[in-house]
Amino acid sequence: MKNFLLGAAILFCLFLALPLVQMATGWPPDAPLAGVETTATGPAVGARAWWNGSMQTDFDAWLAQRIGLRGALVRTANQIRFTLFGELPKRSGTQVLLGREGMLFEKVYVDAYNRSGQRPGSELRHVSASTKRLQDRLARDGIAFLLVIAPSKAEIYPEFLPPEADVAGRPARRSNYENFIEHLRRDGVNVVDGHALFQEWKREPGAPRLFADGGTHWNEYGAARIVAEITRRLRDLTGQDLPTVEIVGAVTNRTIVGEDNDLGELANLWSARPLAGPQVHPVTEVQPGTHVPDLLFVGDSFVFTLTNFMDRHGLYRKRNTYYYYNREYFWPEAPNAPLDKRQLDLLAELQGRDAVVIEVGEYWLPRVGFGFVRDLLKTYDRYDAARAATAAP
Amino acid sequence: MVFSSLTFLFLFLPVLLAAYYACPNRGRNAVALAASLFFYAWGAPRFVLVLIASGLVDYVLSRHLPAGRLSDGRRKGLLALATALNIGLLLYFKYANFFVDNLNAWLGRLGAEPLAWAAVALPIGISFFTFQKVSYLVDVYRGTARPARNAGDYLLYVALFPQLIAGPIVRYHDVAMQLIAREHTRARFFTGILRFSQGLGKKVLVANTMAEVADAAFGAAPGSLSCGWAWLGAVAYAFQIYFDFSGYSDMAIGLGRMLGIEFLENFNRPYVSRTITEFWRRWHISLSNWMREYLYIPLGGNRHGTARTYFNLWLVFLVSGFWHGAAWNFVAWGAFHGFFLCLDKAFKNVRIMRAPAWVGLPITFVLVLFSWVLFRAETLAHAMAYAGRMLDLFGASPDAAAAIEFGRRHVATLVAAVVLCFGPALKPHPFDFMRLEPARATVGQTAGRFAVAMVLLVWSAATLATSSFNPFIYFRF
Repeated sequence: MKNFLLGAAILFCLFLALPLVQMATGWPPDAPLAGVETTATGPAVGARAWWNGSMQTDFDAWLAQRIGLRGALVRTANQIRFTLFGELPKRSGTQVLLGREGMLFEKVYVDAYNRSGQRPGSELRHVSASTKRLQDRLARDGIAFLLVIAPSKAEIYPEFLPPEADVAGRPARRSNYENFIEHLRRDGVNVVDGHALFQEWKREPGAPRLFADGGTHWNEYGAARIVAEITRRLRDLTGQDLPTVEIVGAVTNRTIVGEDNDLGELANLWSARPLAGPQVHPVTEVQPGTHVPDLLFVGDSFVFTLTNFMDRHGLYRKRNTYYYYNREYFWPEAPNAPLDKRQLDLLAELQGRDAVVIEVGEYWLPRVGFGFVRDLLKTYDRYDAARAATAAP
Repeated sequence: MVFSSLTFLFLFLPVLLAAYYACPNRGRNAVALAASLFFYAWGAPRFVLVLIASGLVDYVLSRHLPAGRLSDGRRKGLLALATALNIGLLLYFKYANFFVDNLNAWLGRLGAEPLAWAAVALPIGISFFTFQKVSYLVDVYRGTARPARNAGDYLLYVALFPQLIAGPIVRYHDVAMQLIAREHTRARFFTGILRFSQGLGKKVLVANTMAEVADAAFGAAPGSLSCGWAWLGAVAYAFQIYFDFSGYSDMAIGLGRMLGIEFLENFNRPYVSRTITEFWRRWHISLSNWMREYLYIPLGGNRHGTARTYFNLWLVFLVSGFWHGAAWNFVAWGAFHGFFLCLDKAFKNVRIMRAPAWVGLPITFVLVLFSWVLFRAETLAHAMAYAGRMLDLFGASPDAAAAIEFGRRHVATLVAAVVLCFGPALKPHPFDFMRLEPARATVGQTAGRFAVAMVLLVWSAATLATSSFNPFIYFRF
């Protein structure tokens, strides 16, 4: 018995010491966590920080982020909660809701579906008019413009929302999307309306899912169908023989592509696969054109599913993506970098482009371009004014 | 620093245990004292100076308190002075804001200018260590214990980290000998592990989950609560406070054992009580002991007739209520318990008061629930409004109902809390094996207990780790 008690005490002490050992040596290996968090800065060390308590508070926050085996501990707690109670972790970052039949939703989209934030009509009118003005101005330089509206999962599949999302009691107000799309149509903005298209495609007999159970964005299949629309529209708008893609079928299997289980990963269980659900992949046919275009994309996180697909299928020769108009991604691939808007020469950036494609999730409406439209219009206005002044006798 | 933090669990505790057991016996008090002061300073860096300074004053004064060193009158005067210094510190730090706020409210009613006053910060644990300090002074004065060998031993008694912040309130004569010499055995360390893990589990897994329900219920406007939700909130709070407080005491007792020190039990299954008197024999036992020994008996206890006994009882509970918090609802809470304790005493020989457990237990629990409403509510008015919703049994449901999340995890935790709290009414209790001394348990029982403890420890630590992880799905920029 004495040896057992000693062994138990050693085991207990080892458990307490193991996170520090792991932190110092990297052994045993931890299970990394999905998601991004604001990094706690190390504590300011000094007498003043000690006496006012900030050193201790900062140290606690710093250690909580860096303690060894954190990934294993967090995954263990989440797995226990999910297995025993069917609950995903609740937290102040991105909150994930477990809907019916295992469908996951990002809470902000569910809140938006319930109309938590209505934008004023004057703002919608102004943004639509500005977008049209940009479209016209780009056309004068021979650059096509296309606005792609990415649908919200909660809007397309409300029947899978968790019961507590109170679908039945949803106020009967019109959404920002519903109000904004009318302005866009009235103003004549070139739009690929993902919301309307997804509603239509969802109604097709035997229609495959357009969002993965574990993803917050359109799945590879849904994105591919949008790409097909984009390529068709760009060919019409530019009047050039651009490559196009046709979706001729769908394959359902368990292979996860790209971010199609990003919400499932964010749950940080020991295995995220059970949350992913079946995965739908497009069967495609590419029609190569005689002119492979150069495109500039501006968008939110939905844009990556589009561009990843287009990258793979060689639907352009060059592509830049302004992510939230704050960070730049490239094709052919190069390291992404923050966008320094003070140094950015937008007119130079547009040189040689065939088209500008702005993607915006309906959650963000009417923030079309996240400031890009405003900045480019200003740049054009200054440029045009300068040219007019030079041309004046 | 609190026990249920990653800093304590994975940094402070392993480093302390390593340093403590690497040190020869004679240096262990020094290690424990240094660790305790660091532990306190981590959360209250400036107040540690107050703790040390007041402790040194106690120590110096206490040298003259034993009989024979000074005349009885001088000794009494010295005791009064030392006690007044400690109670004065408590009054200043804990109650000055309360007194000034109330004074200003009265001045406002009279149309006078309020007093300008910078709010005083409350040093964590001052209520507990002040009572311990008074215990030392009185014990030395009475001759129940000798003065501490040196200032270090005395400071260790006051500041010993397991009981420093939330008790148990250790009377000096209960630990005086252990501060000088104590035994470190494997069995004691082992039972320390079990108690600590059990306490951590009670706090992190049960109390914190019940707190989610209680906070939502007490955070809602009482008018928006249905009668059912109001009861559920009160029940959740009853379990929250029990598992939180008794969990903390378990951790303290467990940590004490790891350092070779035995603290007295602080809780003994209080919700199976059949009367309020029994409840106070089972709830926060160390406070009841302190109140009886250092307040009730000096006031005369039950030695001066019935009326004086009731007065003393009630006064003790008013003080107890005020000790718990500087607000009128705590005073009302104390008065509530004092009232029912007096009733118990007055009718203890009446047959109906000796009702069987199945009658006495639910009645007592409901009374305790209402007292917890007084304790948890923000103000006395809030408590009255909340209790009103609980009593509105046949009232209509409010139009705008409060949104209280009560999912499977809450249901399961509530059921577990009910079993753990009321299971003790069953004999033998299904969890009695967790309390067996290793010498009286089989290897299988001991291994089983250790396995349960480790599961609780890992689950609690994992839950603590996840509470600090609030990721976003992507960086937007």
